[in-house]
Amino acid sequence: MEVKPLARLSPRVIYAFVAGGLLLSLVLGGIVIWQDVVHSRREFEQMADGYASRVLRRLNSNVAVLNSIRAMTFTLDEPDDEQFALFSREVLRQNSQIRSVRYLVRVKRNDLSTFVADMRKRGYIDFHVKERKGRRWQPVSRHDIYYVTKFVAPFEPVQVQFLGHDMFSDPRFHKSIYAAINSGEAVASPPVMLPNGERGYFLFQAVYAGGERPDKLSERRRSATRLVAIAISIRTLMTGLNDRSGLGTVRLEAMDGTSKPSAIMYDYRAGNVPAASILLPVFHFKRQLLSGGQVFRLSMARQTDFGILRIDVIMIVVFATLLFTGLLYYILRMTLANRAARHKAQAELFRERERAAVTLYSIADAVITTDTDGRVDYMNPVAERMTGWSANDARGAPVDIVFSIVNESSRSRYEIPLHECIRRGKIIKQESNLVILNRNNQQIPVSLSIAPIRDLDGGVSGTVLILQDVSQSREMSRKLLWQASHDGLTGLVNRREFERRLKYAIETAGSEMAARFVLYMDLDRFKVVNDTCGHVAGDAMLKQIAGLLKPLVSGKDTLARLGGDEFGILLICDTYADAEQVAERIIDKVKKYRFSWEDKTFEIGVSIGMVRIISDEISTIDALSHADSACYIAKERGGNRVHVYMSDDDALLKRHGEMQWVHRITRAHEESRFRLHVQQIVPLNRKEDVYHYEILVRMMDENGEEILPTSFIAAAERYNMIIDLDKWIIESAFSHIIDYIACRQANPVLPHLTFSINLSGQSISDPGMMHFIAEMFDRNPGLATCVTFEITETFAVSNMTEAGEFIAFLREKGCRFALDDFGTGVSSFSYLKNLDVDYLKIDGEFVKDVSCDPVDFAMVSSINHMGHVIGVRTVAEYVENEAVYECLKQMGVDYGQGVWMQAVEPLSDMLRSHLDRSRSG
Amino acid sequence: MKRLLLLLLLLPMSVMAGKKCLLVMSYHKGYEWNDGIERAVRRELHGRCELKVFYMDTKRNTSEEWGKQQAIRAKNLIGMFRPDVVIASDDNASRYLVKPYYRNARLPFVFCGINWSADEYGYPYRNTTGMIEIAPVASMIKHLRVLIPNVRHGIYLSSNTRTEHKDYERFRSIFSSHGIQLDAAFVSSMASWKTVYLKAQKFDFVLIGNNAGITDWDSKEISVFALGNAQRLSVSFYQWMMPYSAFALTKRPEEQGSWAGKTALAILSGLKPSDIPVVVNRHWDMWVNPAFFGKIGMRVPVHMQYRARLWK
Repeated sequence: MEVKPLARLSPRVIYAFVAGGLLLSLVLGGIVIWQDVVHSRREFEQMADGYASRVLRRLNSNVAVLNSIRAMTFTLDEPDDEQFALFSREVLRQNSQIRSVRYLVRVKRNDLSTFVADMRKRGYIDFHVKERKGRRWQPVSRHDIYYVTKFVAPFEPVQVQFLGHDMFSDPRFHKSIYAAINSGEAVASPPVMLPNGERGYFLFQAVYAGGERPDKLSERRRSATRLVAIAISIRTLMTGLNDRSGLGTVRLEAMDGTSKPSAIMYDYRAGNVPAASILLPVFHFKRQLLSGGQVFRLSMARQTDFGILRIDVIMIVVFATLLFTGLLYYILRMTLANRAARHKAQAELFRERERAAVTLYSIADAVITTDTDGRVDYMNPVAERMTGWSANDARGAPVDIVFSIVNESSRSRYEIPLHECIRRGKIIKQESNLVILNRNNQQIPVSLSIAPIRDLDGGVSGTVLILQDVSQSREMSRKLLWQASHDGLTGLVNRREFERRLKYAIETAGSEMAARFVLYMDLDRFKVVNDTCGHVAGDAMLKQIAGLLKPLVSGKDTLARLGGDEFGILLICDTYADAEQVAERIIDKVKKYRFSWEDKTFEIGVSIGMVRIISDEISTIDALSHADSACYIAKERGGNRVHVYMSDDDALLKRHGEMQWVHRITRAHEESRFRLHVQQIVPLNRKEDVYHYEILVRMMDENGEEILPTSFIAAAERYNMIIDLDKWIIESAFSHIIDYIACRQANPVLPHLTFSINLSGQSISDPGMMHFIAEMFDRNPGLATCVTFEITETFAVSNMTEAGEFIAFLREKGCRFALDDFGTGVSSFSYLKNLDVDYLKIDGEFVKDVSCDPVDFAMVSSINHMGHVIGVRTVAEYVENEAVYECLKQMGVDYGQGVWMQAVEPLSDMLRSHLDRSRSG
Repeated sequence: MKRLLLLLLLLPMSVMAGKKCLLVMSYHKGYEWNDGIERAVRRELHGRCELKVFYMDTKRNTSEEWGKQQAIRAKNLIGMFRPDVVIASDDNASRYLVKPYYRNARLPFVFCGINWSADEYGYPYRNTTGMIEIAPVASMIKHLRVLIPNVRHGIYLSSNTRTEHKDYERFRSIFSSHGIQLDAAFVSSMASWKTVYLKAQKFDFVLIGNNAGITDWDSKEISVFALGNAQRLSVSFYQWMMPYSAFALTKRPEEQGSWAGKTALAILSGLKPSDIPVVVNRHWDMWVNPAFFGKIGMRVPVHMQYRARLWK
């Protein structure tokens, strides 16, 4: 099964690519985003961790500050206002988060009034110990111990409110102070609102009497005579730290004992985050900070925004991915396109190779390819059969080993011109006279064609030899050639060939030593056989006579049938005596010959006229005329004799011979003894409404006997009486046709009839004839379409221009033309293209044996095929039996004509029968 | 149109009329202590309160009548000016103005420069708060013990004014509580001062009091005299008496004025005067006059050299 490559990407694949590219770019972009987020988270955590550490340090720094205050307090027995103020001022200046510093002294209940009095004595005239109830001050409640604010810094009106404040009685601070006393450490208060309205807390630390922190708890409680405290602003503490812009939300919560946040001490929220940023994660960071015994929970959260993303990198990644996907798509598409193109080319190549292989396998010609050294690369089956070598065996073998070629005529070896072909780079053809000698010593006539095989660079990489088996064509040519020069009936040389040889003999008469004689023979009483037993019997007898005569002449002589019952011999011998001896033997032989036909036996004789070719001054016609005259004399003298033509009776004999036929034809004319007959030309493969007939002429002799045209046409042509005869035939035939046309106009039921009329070459060459016919056509409308003129192929080929003009002129009038006796003496059909004819009448000599002779079959088939190819209908003559009929029909010949199909009948009878049928029908 | 023009004319006044403060000075302009307080008050209130200053000039005019007249003028000014808060500087302002006319009134008062005790004025009222002015007597005693380890007996030389007498009583009490006897000599003229000064050289130290009220005081002459006749350590609580003293712990009039200004602003911002305790001044400066130390053959202790400011 052939798998078709994906030549084009389907939309689904394209969509998949687009989606894949987008997905990949999204994934890669997502990875970059993820990395950025991770990096940002790490940065955030580092920042948050650092921030938490700074917060813790800041918280713890408060403890350190408080410790330093405690140390200062401890070093002084009792700091005065100025000392406390100076120290506190520095503390506050250096620690902005510390909003106030307080110095508290423990006052026992019993000492309270003394303490107050002392303070008033020092100038604090309205000093009193107080406690806070909501936002109001009130005198302190009754307690055993008070930790009263004695100094406060900064020394500002808002802060000095707290002078006298007993923080120990304040429930917000009580636990922290107590814890500070018990622990000796700095202890943070719960979150409180500082006097300035800020949220914060206090850190307390006890200052024990004696300085050092007592080991025992009870001692610590007893000796904690003073406290130092600082108020810490959480906002200032947090904002005083370094940049927190990257932290987003910062929240500091104080934790209670249950690890739950008791109060939000600080809550910072960064500026608005773009709404789209909610697509990005929120980073969280929480840490618990322990400072001054207070647990704080520092929470940070940051909504990441798009600022953390490396948009340029993401864009680069996305675009690079899309670009990469596009490139991949382009490469894939190009790859597929290339693959498809390659596959297509391979398929094309495969088809071409298959086609070539099948062609080579199926071709009727032998095809052999060789390399440049002439060694066989390939042979097709025909070549295998032709050479007797298998392709495998032959591969690599030199061509001249595989087969050899000889000249058919000379039998000399023909050197296959492989190297010449390679050298010249051109096709070399050799179509004639070659015979291949194969491995089985068979000889096969071939035509040879050698062509160079070129590679991509145009160089010759080998040759291809095409050997065409031309056995049939060569046999056909041979037969055509033979038929052109031989009589089909007897196999003897025909008149044309005889005249050619005679001409040659005349031309060489002076140079040859041997003498040449022409023997003109006419059978005596042949007509009796013909009339008694028919033409078939006559033909049979003629064949036997030919066979009888053949042995009587040598190979260098020429025995010919000159026409009808006339034979001729071109005899080469030394003397008259020798020639007469031959003639006598012939007479004797024929005289003894008996022809039996059915139950009849006939004796015949032969009259021989003999003439010697003395010099080349005599013409061929003259020589034959002399011989004919001598023959006539021999016949007149009783037959069965030879009469030698002598120059001294030349005039008499000549006149006598010629005048015989001139006289007879003339008298026949005068006495209207010419008759028109017809023979139907029948369609073989279809029905037609038209009836076709060939008009034949018969001359009636003085006794009313019919003389076939073969007897007088040649003489009429020879003595230029044929034009008049043709005119008579035309006029007579046209007269009948015109009458019939008239009848048909009156009676449309009558069938349409067409008539073929033979025209001699002389008539065609006569300018008057053409105009005569044209005038008849012009005068009689409808006549031309009923007429087909038959002209012989021999004349047409020999007088192509005249024939062409004649045909063209009359076809304009509406008549048709047929090429008669087609196939005789031709070896090429090319001239047909120049003759605008409508029918080809295949020569009867090919037709009569077409059913049994393959050469005739091939010949007829070729003519028929060729005729159809050029648009001409074909007519086969001599259809004399059913086998021939069937063969022609199978072959596709259009029309047939012959005695088996339709006998010759008088024209008038035929017309009458049509008229009768129309009347009766 | 007229209304618009009026509005444009009154616009600056309306801006200035946000808050009004009145500073009533007991003394006159040019009196150094008085000027220090005023400077500080102005600095604190600058841009926050429209300030007017009224000088009672009771240092140069010490009579009761003058004081009362000035108090009436101040009261009239208050009635006209309608301050949101009044700062009463030094004792006479409280004595002649606050106590008689504004005790527990609605108008808040911030007093400052009240020497040692406000008992005589009945402070604190509901509408008053302020800063008591005390001298760093305890610190002075500590330093005297360093400079004169066996210090037993000293003399207070001052002008003969009510304030000086009042101060002396406070000094004497404190010195006495530390085991040091402090006698006093109040003079009204420069000659008397010289006489007493010469006599004072037999004491362990001389506490130089205020010269305000000695009308013929010649600073240059006295300084030469004092240095030339110095045999004992002379100390003072007044910076302007340093030309005649070897050592001084001086109050800062700016502290009083600054506190008064801040307290006035606190009251203007909503605090009630009663919520702000009366406080005392806490800062003072240490001065050393090397010429006197050299004259009496005494070296300035190292710890004093670190802190004290040298008088040149």
